Amino acid sequence: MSSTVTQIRTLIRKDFLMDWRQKHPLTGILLYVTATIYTVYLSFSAVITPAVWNALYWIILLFVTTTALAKSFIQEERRHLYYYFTVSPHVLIISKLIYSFVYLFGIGLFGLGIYIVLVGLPAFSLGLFLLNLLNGIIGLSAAFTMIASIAVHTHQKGNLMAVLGFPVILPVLLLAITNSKKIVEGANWEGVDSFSLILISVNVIIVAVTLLLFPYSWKA
Amino acid sequence: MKYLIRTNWWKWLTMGLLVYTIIGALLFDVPRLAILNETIRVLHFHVPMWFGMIFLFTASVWHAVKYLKTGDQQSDIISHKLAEVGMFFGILGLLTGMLWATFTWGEPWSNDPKQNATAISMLIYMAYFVLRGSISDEQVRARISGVYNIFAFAALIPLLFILPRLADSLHPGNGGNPGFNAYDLDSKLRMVFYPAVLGWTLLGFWIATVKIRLTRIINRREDV
Repeated sequence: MSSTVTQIRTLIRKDFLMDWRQKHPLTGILLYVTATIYTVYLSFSAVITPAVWNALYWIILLFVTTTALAKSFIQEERRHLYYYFTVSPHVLIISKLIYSFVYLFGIGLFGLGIYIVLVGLPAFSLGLFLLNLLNGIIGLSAAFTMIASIAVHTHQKGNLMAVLGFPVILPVLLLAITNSKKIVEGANWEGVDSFSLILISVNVIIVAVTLLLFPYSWKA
Repeated sequence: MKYLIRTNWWKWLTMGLLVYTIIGALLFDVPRLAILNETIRVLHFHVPMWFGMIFLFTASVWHAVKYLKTGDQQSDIISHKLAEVGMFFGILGLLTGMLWATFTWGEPWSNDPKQNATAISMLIYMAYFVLRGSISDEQVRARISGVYNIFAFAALIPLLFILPRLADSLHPGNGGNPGFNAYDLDSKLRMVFYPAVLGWTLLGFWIATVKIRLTRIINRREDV
C-alpha cells in the first residue's frame, strides 16, 4: 500500500519537476491565457455584464484546458514501455488526475487574476466562486485527462482533444456555469447547493469511469 | 445481437408491426387538442425514433464493453454498426421533430432541453466516428473507440437528467404542456404508440444486422 502511495507521489513530483525544468510548455500556456484574456478585454470591454463576465471566464478556461492537458500523455510516449513494466495503470492515472487538477487550478487562478485586473470584478462572494471553480475544475481536469489518453493514439492529437472532449464535458460545464452565474449575480450557498451536489456526483461518475477505463486505453 | 443475426422470425414481426403502425397512425381516431390538432400523429413516427436511438446506442455501448472484456473483433463491428444506425435514427428524429416544431412551436429550433440533449448526443457520436477514422491500426481503433463509447455514454446520462432541470421543455407532457397522459382518450394513442416503438426499434436492429453482415463479407474478401 505504502509503495503505491510512494509511486503516485513520485510520479506527481516528476510531472511538476518537468514543468519546472522545461519551462516552455507552462510559459506557453500562461502566455496563451494572457493573450486570450487580453483579446477579450479589447473586444468586449464596453458590453460586460456579470453574466457575460462569468460565461467568458468559463469559455476561456475550457479552451485553455484543451490546450494545457493535451500534453499529459503526449509527453509520456517515449516512456510508455518503461511505465508499462514498472507501475500499474491505476497508479499512473491517479497521479495524472491529481497533477492535472493542481496544474489546471493553478492556471485557472492565474487566469482569474489577470481577468480581474483587466476586465474588472463584479461584486460577489469570491470564496464561493472559488469553491465552485474548484468543483468544476475537478470534472474538467479528470475528463480531459481521460480524453488526452484516448487522443494520444490518433493521428491529429491536438484537434481531437476538442472534438472528443467538448460533448463529454458539457454536463460539468453547464452545471458549473449555471452555479457560478448565480454566484456572480449575488446568490449565497443556499442558492447553489443542489446544483453543487449534482456537480459533485457528476465528478464522481467521471473519475470512476476514468479509473475503470484507463487500463484499456493505456494498454493500446 | 448474435441471436438477432441468426434468426429471422422477428423480421416478420417488424413488418407486421410497421404496417399496423402506418395504417393506425394515419387513419385511427386521435384526440382533438388545441395547437396539436392532427399533428399529434407525429407521435407514432417522431418519438419512436428517439426510443430506437437510445436502444441502439445502449446496445452499442454494451458491445463495446463486451469487446473490452473479450477482445473479439466481431463485438467491435457490431458496436460500430449499431452506433451508425443509432445516429441515423437520431437524424431522422431530429428532422421529424423540427418539421413538427415549425408548425406547432413556430420555429424549428427553440432551445428546448430535449433538442439540446439530442444535439449533444449527435456531437458525441460524430466525434466517435471521427475518432474511428483517425486511427489506422485495427486493434487500437477497436479498443480506443470502445473506451470512448463507454466514457461518452457515461457522461451523457447525467446530462439527460440535468438539462430538464435547467429549463422547462416545450414538449407535450412537460412544463405544464398537455401530453397524452392527461386525457382519457390516451388509450387510443397508446394502442398504436407502443407497437410503433417496438416496430421502429426492431427495424433499426434489422438495418444494423444487414450492415454487420456486409462488413463481415468485406472483411472476409479483404483477407482472401
